[in-house]
Amino acid sequence: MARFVLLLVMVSVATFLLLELIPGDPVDGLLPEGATEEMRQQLIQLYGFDQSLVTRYVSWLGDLLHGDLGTSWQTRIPVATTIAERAPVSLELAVLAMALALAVAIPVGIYSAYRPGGIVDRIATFIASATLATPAFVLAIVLVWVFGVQLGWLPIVGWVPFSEDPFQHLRAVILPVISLAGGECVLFIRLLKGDMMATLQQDHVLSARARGLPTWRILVRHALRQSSFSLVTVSGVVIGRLIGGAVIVEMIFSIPGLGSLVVIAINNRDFITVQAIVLLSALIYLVLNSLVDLAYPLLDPRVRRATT
Amino acid sequence: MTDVVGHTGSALSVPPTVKSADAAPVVKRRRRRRDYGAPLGAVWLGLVVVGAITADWLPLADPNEIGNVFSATPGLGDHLLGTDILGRDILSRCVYGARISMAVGLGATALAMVVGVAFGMAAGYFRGAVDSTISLFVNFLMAFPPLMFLIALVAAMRPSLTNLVLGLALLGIPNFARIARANTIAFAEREFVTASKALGASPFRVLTRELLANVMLPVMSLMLVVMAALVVAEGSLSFLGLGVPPPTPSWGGMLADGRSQMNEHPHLVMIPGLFFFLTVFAFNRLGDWARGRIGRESSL
Amino acid sequence: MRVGRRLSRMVVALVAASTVAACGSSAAEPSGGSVPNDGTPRQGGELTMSRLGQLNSLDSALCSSSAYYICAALYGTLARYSFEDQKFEPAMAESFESADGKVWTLKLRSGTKFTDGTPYDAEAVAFNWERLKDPALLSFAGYWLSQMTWKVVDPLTLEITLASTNYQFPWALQYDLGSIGSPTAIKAKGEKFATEPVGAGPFVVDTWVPGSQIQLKRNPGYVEKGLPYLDRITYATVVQDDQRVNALRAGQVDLTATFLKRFGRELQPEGYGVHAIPLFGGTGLGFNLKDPIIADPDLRQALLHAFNAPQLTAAAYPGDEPPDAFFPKNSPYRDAAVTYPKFDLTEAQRLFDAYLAKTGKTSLDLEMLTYSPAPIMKQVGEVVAAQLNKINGLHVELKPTENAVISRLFREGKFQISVHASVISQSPVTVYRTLYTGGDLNVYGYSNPRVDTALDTTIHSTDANEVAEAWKVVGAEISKDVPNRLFAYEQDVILAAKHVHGVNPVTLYAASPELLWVDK
Repeated sequence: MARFVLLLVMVSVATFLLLELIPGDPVDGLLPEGATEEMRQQLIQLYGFDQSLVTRYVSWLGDLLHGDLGTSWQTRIPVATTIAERAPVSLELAVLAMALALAVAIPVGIYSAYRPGGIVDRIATFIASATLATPAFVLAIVLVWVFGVQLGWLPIVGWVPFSEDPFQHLRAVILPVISLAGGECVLFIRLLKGDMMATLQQDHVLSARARGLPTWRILVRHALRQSSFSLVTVSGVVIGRLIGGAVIVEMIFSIPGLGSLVVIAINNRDFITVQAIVLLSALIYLVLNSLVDLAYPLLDPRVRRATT
Repeated sequence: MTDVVGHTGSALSVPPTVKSADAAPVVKRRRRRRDYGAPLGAVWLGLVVVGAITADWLPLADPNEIGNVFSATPGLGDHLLGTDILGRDILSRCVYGARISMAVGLGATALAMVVGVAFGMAAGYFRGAVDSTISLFVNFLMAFPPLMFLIALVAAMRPSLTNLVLGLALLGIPNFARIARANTIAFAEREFVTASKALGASPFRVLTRELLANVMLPVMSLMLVVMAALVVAEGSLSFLGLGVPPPTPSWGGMLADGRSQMNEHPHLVMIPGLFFFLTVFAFNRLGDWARGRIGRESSL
Repeated sequence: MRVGRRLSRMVVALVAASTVAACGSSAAEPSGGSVPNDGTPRQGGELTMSRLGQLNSLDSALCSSSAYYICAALYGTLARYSFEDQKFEPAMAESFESADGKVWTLKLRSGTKFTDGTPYDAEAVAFNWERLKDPALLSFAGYWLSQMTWKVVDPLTLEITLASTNYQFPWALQYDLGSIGSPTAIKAKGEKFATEPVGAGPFVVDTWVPGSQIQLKRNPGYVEKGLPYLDRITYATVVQDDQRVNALRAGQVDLTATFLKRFGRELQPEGYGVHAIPLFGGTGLGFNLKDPIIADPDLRQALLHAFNAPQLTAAAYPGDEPPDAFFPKNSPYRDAAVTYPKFDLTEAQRLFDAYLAKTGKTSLDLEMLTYSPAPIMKQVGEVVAAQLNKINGLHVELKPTENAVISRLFREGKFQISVHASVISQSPVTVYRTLYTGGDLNVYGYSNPRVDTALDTTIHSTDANEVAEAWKVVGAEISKDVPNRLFAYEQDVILAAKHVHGVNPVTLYAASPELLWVDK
């Protein structure tokens, strides 16, 4: 726990230092054309840009401990409000991407393990390597071009909230979700196939085979159950990564999530927003990682054996 | 996402045991067919590296020469791969752009590997306070959302090739440190190490003479994965306009430039996209191949 | 991505040809604006407009050119510039008049109410203007606020006194000072006012996804009778220009905007409504005349001769007319006798060699700034740098830089050459601020007494001919001195589907929302 808090403090201090190094005063990023020197000085006073780094950090930390993430210098909207609006968007994308990746990976992974070197395995392996080799930003713009522009099947106009039009919403999330799911799906297939093939070598499975049980039943009943543990734990890490990491996909599809917000905030020198988002992402990562570390030995007998 | 952690997720999420789940498939393969991916990948990467090094002597157009034929379609003639929206030769820009990708893929990865392995081995060998300090640092690096970290870093340090390599190397360090640490711990208990220690060898000697070779084996297979990931990370930054400053060509920058005319001239985006694809694909296939080889050896 | 505000401004539109902005305009007509003449407006219906930027705050303090579209809808604007009639007409205000261009009388319509039921009166206007002085609000109105005072004469009348005569003041009543929020709501809601705005404009917020899209519905209590026509209007964010045009063609949106003139040329034959607003100024190559190296006129001449405008236009703005003077060829203000130096690399080299000989240098390194977030600016910068580097002995290095850094470099006068937007506004006041000696947007350190005198005339005179003559002087002097070598005249192009009518195009990708109607 102490380590946990220490890490968060380190992340926040490092973020502060990093942002401090970015050239261009926040004041210059904020003030509009035509602002007088007097307004400039007032703004510096107001946000304490003239105070030392330590003073600013301590006051930011103090507010944070009182549950106050501060107010955006740019929009004057509380940072917490903006994050509360955007986090669900990033979360939804992450969860859907995850679900899609698993939905494809499980049957493909099982079948590849069932008939390794077979046609499905080879096609899957090929598609998997191809997908893994396509950077998300390349995949995203190619998808937009094919399905949005050439075929006209999916909308190219930005984000429609679910509450407003569920159907349009789903149409709008398809391409971003596929772009995000691509790489993760491949990871899952590899993991699952590896796990399953290892399981097939285990004694009780070999004896089940000797008893004449069909391989696919063994795969589903024994192997999948064991492998699902590692899938679940890896999913935890992957989700954490997707929530904080979908910067480019959010930019390409104009999705109002946390990733696009951070880029905008850095450009506008709205550092108070950047600090909050980086801290939140780190928190999510650390929490999920701790859960995984805790859960892993409990769930997977192989690891229990290996670590004890 | 296209970050380092993205492509090494399985390496990170599996607890630090030597035998990762990834190594398992090697245990037995039925009807294994000849795999052409790895050799083809090696050929492609060879071409890219040679092209990047010898670009100045190749019979290529000046990559920054503004032409008079804009967004020309690929074809035989003056411009094999066509021209970009400013009339510059795309083939030439791709070859010169390979310099950036390779500088990052090879340079940043090598740097990350040296630092990461050094820290990881120190942590795994000395344990105790050294281990907790290094692990804390590694966890700290990993807690940053990678692309956000890079964007802020690049904004702070101004985009230049050196800064890009440094930033991306920083991002790659945790992966190497973790795998090096795990393997050092695993090997530190083996007889040849304890024997060497008993004979009074200094820690430095034990680490370099006895452990390094064994630790490097799994590190090498991770290396190719990290290379691919860093090439993609650089592409992402260039795509966002935060890569090496213009007019130096980079694949990500070419993609970003071409986007505005993608409807009329898809080749502006497809060609640099293809270069990315082939390069990352090659790294991955070589990585799979290396993992297979190393997996077999280490399971002996 | 939300383009920085400075950058947004650059993409703004403006009426070069139409700047004889009538002043002291005061129509007695109680209702209805001067609707563009394309049929009898129909009540009802809805439309979607795609926008390039995201909107994160709806506070009336942020209303200026870049947020105009939303401010005009939620708060209305005191004045409204009619593109078709080329004059201001009353909107939220009933009239705005001045006998001397210095003291202005602003009269409000009686009975106007904010949507929270409180009165839209002179006190409310005064309260809003006073509030804009708070630097934390980041209002664009600083320029005006620092040179005006006002007093409430009666509940419907304000008397405004400017520091000096300015017949172009109504532009402020449309943009920077034009949007008034409910004082009661502002006081009660505090920071929340940015997300829960209360105005008296033609529309109110229905649903809003910050950073993505906003849906507005009709305000039945809007003060101009019969307006607005639409029941609903939706603004959706689509960042890429070509995606916005694709969406229009695919019928996913009804109205969109771009600054790329080629889309207008493509869509016009297909039957789409194309409304282009020419703007003052454009994008160009700016020189810091205060920089010790750039201050040398021979060096600047060398650079100007090395600049190949037709090539740049063909690469970055295909199909457009390459600018050859401050005012375009069709402008009534153009003095045909004066154009920019022509492309002539030999002459450029000769001048440059002479410069080197004169200063005893053997080579010269220069830095050229460009805005990094905008791909088009980066590409244009690459072309210009490559062209200038054709001069032997000269090395121009391109420095893509973010808005915040550029703002500071400009403020401190620490740059040499810069690819940037100059003026780019519908309002002549922006030209004044950019080219007048010591003007707050005069990043060039430019000073020319003849230009100053002529610019004074453009805001001091009500005589259209006199003003036009003054603009001719400005255009000729600027084209000769070249503090900024324009390479693209900018326009704001509004693209409308066939069923969309009543488009009164306004600066920065907007159309007066209350005048739009559809016959679908």
